[in-house]
Amino acid sequence: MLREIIENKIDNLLFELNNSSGTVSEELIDELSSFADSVLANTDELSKYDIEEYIKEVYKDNTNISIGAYIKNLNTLKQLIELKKNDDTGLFDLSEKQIEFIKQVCEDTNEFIKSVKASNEKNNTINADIEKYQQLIEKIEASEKKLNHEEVKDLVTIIDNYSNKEKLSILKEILNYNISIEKNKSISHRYINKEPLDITTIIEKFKEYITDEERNNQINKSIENYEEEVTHNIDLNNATAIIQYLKENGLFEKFRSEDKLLALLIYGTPETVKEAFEEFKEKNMLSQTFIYEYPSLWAEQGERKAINRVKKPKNGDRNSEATLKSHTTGLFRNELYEIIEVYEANGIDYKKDKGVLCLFAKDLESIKYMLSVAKKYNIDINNSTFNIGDYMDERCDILIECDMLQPIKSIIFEHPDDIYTVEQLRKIMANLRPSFIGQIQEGHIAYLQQQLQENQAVPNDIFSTSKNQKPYYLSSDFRYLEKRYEPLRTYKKDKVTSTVRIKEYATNNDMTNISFNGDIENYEKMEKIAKGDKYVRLDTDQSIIESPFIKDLDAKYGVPDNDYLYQIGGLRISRYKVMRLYQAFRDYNMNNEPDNQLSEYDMRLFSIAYRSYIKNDIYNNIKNNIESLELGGQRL
Amino acid sequence: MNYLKKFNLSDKDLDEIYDSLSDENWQFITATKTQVGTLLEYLISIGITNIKNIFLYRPNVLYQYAEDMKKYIEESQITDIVQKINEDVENFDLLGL
Repeated sequence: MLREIIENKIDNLLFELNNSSGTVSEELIDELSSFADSVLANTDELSKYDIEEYIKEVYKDNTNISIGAYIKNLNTLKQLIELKKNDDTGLFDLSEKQIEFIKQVCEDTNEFIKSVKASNEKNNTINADIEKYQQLIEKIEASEKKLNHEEVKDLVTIIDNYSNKEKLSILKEILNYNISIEKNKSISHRYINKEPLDITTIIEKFKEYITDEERNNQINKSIENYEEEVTHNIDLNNATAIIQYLKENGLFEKFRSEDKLLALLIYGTPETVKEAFEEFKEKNMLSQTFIYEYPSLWAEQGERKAINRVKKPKNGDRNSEATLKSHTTGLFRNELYEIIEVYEANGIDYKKDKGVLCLFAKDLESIKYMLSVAKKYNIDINNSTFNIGDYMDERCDILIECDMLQPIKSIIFEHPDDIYTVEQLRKIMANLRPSFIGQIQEGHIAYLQQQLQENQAVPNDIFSTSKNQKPYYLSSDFRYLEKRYEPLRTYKKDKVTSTVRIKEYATNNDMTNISFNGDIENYEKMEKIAKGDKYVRLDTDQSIIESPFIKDLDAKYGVPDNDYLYQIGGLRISRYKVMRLYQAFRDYNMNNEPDNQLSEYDMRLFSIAYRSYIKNDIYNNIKNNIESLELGGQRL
Repeated sequence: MNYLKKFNLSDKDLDEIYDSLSDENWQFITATKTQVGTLLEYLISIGITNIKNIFLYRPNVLYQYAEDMKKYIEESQITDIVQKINEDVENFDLLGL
């Protein structure tokens, strides 16, 4: 939760940065300042300056601010200079009006400089805040140091707008975090070598205990791959005692991954391994291979909670890497048993040979959540299903809206080997290919929704179909889609730029989106509620279905014999999405004082339009409809 | 993740892969370098060329051990399995993965 609230804050700052004026270089500011000052003093100086270059530079750095009039005047000035330069006769003199205009442009330049300086300062502060919050996330992830007074103060400021209930829960989490760091200090200190051990000493010692040459080579490779961590943290007596225990009990060869074995040798103890061994023996689980894939099951057991799982640093770069220690802090035995119960209850074979290794990579809550979403949206449950990621129902809603997922039983499921048209397959692409659900990106959504609203269909040629390939194995990746239009390539590191590009793409194609059109006053707050605590609620109660809002939508936009879709021209809106969000907002209002509640208008517009790119005429119709709908005798 | 460069992945590929990875896949790929590296060496040795797409679209395949993968491929009845995987990484399905 702590990580999520900081990430939300970073997202908000990125959004702010994205919507602010661009940052202008100090060099350009100096140049413009010198131009304005000298030309104001003497208009003859004008010819010394390259106005065209300024126009280019100002445009380059300020794609996002309204500077049209200023640029227009600079262009006029440029033409004026050219006229003067090209006058061979010497008859061309600047009129008083023209001199006045030149001075006006210089004054505008000074105004422009003032505004970009203020904007630069603001952007610098935002960037510094983003960096500060990223470091805070890293600190929390590392779980080695307590949060200090300043950091706690920052967190308290972030949650200022949260409800009292949320505030209390977050403050408790901060307190528990600091207590757990204090508690763990004695344990973690035991492993740290004041001076790193020599890598050769470690390799030689292991050679004494691991006689199989190939295995020994692989372990040496792993030691080299993680040299710094190993040499700083290994206690050779502890490690060799574990090796001996594993060998005596026929377990050593069962730990197939050298990296994971090494993690256990560093962060486990003979006692923790013995405890796990006896417990698994008692439960008759020693023959199940997956228990040897998670060193955390054999190390010191902790409380089951999501924070134990290591997370990828948000907005980080590829240089950030998880440590071997991360293998020992994820899945603990109590959670493993609960996950097994869930799999057994759902008929999932977790003991099979193939593909089982990723079945325990996610935490229990994620697994339960993904299974329930898969059932509700009729998604095939296979190894990829458990790799989809967070906010799966939100992603499924998007795919319904892009006409690539149908939460209904399809004949294709019953006869997968028959030949189907690309059109038939495309409509249930995400049902068949869970990996597709995790891959859809903002640019894809904008493009697909544009196609649907303009042409009432998604073009089939965005998918690959090779000869002699069963249509069932139609490619589900986006290679073909991405070739269509560059802004779709949203993976770029410069997230701000990609957001701007998608916004431009939508605007150029006469579409809007509530994330940037400013129609929702509390967009950020509502997005936070919509996201929930990662596991977005799935069920909606009967009162939502019977609410005037949903009844009205059902009557106007409902599709016969279809409970998951509203169709407004070519626009598809997931009915599941609307109901889920509307319920979340209604629940929020019930738990908050009137002055902190959301307006009915915002709740309705957000529930329909969230994450959808909508043609302006359709969007305006939706807004008009929401405005005209009566509720409880009161006109909105 | 820079260790992946030796498998013909460019800086741009690695940025793209980093962005697409879920938390647990990122943890696995960076904290299990030896195991993942051995698998990739094997896949490249048999002619698999679209390594990047495995990371992007089928990261669950990376959890397999090289020797198991070898067994699955050798025991597979599909003669052109490498070609099929190169056409589309989703065809790891044909191996039951």
